[in-house]
Amino acid sequence: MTAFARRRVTGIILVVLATILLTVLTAVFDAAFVSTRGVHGWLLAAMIVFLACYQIRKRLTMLPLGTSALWLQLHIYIGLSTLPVFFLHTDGRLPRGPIEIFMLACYLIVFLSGAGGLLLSRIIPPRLRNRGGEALYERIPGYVRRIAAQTEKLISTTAEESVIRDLFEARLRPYFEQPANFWRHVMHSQKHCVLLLDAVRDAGRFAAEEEQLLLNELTELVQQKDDLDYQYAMQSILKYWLFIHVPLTWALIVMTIFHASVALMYS
Amino acid sequence: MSLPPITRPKRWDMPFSQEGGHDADISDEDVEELLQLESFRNIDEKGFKKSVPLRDILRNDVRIQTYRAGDVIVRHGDWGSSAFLIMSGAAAVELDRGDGGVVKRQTKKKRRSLFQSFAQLWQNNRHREVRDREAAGQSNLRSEDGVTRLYLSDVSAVLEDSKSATLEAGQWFGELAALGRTPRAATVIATDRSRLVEIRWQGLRDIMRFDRNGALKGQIDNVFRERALTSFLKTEPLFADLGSDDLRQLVSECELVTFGEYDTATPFRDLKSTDDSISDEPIIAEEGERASAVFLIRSGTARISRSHFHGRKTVGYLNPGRAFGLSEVIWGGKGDSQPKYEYRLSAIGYLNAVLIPATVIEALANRKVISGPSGSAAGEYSESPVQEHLLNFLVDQHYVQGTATMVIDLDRCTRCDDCVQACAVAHDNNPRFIRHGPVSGRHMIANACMHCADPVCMIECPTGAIHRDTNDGLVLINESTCIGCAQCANNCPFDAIRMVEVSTPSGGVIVDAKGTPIMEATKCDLCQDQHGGPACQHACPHDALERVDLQNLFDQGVISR
Ligand code: HEM
Repeated sequence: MTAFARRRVTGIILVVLATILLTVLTAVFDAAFVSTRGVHGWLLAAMIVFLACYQIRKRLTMLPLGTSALWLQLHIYIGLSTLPVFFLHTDGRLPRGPIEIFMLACYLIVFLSGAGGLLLSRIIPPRLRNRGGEALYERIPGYVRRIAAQTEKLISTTAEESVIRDLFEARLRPYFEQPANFWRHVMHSQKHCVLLLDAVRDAGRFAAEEEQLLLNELTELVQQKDDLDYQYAMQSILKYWLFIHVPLTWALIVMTIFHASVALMYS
Repeated sequence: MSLPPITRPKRWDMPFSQEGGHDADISDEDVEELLQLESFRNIDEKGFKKSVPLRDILRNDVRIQTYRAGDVIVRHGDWGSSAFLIMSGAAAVELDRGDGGVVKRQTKKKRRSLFQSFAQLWQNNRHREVRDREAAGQSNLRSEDGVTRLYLSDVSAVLEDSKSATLEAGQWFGELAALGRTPRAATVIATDRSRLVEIRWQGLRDIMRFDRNGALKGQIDNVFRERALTSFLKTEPLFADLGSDDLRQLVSECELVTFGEYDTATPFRDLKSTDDSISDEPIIAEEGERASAVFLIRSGTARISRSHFHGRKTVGYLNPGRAFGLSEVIWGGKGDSQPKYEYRLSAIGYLNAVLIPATVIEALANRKVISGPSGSAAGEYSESPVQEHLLNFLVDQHYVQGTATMVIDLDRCTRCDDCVQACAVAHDNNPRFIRHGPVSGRHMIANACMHCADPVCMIECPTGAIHRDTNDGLVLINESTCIGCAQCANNCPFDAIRMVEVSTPSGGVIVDAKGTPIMEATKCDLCQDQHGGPACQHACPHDALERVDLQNLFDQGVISR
């Protein structure tokens, strides 16, 4: 077992143990007719505030507040622990008022995006390594432009009327011009590339002999560009899932403050 | 916006005699006095370049200092970039090195206060590479050259307790650390009121290079043999308990061997670019040949490899202080009358080693004065926890030089760039590395200064702006003495030093009288002034980035994955 796997197992066991402990305590207090809802509420609010503080920690890199990696570990397991606390707090009942429904939606989306984002953060990096060279995200559009320029140069050497030029105008230029096939890459589909390479191969049947070499080069460039598109799509996902997770976190915090004030007022 | 031009910095803008708060100019009379000294008297001035004449070296790279009895001149373990020659008086070299010696190290951290750290959030400049030229032009304090001296109140009593040797007028010391880019090997304390010549290593190097008579070079080499070799041999555990007679005998039979060019980074750079560097490396000891000697590495790195079908397999590498061939000579010798090396030892770049003939070791072992390692060579070297392809990559590309190499585990890196952002915050909004670099398997060696064990970047720096920190050996650039010559950037085999145009706080580029922008070298300083160590590693959420000391391959998280 790797050190990471060990850490994961330990974290999960701790979450399960904490959940069992909390459930047992709740049952004991319930049996004694002592209400635990308020306690669960405050606990949940504190956990959510702590989770949100991770963003602040990330900005305060210059202060000795513990490593970001340690914070993320706490974030993940406290984040996961919010689910059982949430259940205990709501007693498993669905909310009624629109504000509570919105709050539930925020919480669920934040929770699910967090869990999903974490999963993607573990799955995507090894895949990035296996497709094309390592490319810095900000430089990818530049690389794409370079490949596009290269193809334009190659095409400029062909005759005005040629099967390659036709193919280029119809299929290749739009493909080479900018990052493409984002969703296909997200879905891990290769269909677009297979179709494009088929088209290039088909053109080969009508190409002059001296044009075959050019077609080979184009095939190579199609593949290079596809790798870059893949890198671009995957790195975009790695960056942009946080655009769901974080804004809704702050919506959730605002709702929590509101919800807690109302609860305090009427208790 | 037009800015008043400033003068382009040059070598010797800041004479050594003015550096770090010193202010005793070297006058023409001083130069004459220096030229009368035994060490400088026989130098042939004609061999010196017109731009670097001997007299200018003495005027600018030398300072004359007076010490009182008890003053600590150099401390064991400090990184020094100057050598000393005693003009008058005397000093004691402390030989006993247990527990850091008589002068305890004060760990002086130039760390920011918590508030200063926090204030980086809003005080960092909006513009890139902003420098305060006004402040920079003034005094340039470097901790290792600070005039504030350590002092031992009862020097004779202290020295009585520890073994020491006396240095007298005409003798050199500190040249080893200065020229070899290694820490000071011993503490030296003035035992009398003494006048000392202190010379920058660049100056000493130039004199040794241009003096056709080679008098000073010969003198320095002899000093090394006499003094440093003994203390170096004693660092090897095998010889730690040798009596002084045996030690003297050992020193006289040792040979000093070097591989690669001493004072240029170029061969190192070339080596790195070859695909199959292993076959180009100078061989120190050959696998299968008679184990006729033991090698102790003094500086540089050596590769241990063995043949594997038609190629060679890297098994490990040796850093300074480690020995090769001991088990073969001592252990292998018992059953076999002709012990053979089980591995090949080859030099990676510039390497300096001490060769001890097998006969000497055998004689000592036979008399039971020393006892060798308790196993075979195979057991000694084959335990690296690092996967072979990574080990090959690290050795082939010379990354094993790094004491703080930035290694990124690409299987865990989400490319979030939190590391780059944290680096920028710690450096006035200028990130000091690029999250990009050569890849081997899941590991990327990012483009950040690795703080090499043997920093070849320092070799040609004309002003000594690039230096090692006195306390922790980090390779740092002194912004106020950097003249932007780009020698360090060109010498760095890892392209970890970047030349940048510097600007004023309002964002205007600083130019010289001809209107050419002033450049400065910049690189990672391992966040020396920050809390919590290197910001990049601190900020990585996924345990993907680590600064790894590749001089020690064991117990290293990221590279053993
Ligand atoms: C339920 C309440 C949660 C809240 C309020 C919350 C809030 C946050 C915040 C504010 C950040 C900082 C983002 C940034 O500035 O970059 C963050 C990051 C993150 N959260 Fe959550 N989170 C929650 C739950 C979870 C859960 C349950 C998980 C996973 C199981 C999770 C995983 C992550 C991960 C992986 C990151 C990003 C680390 C990185 O790559 O930079 N979160 N979260």
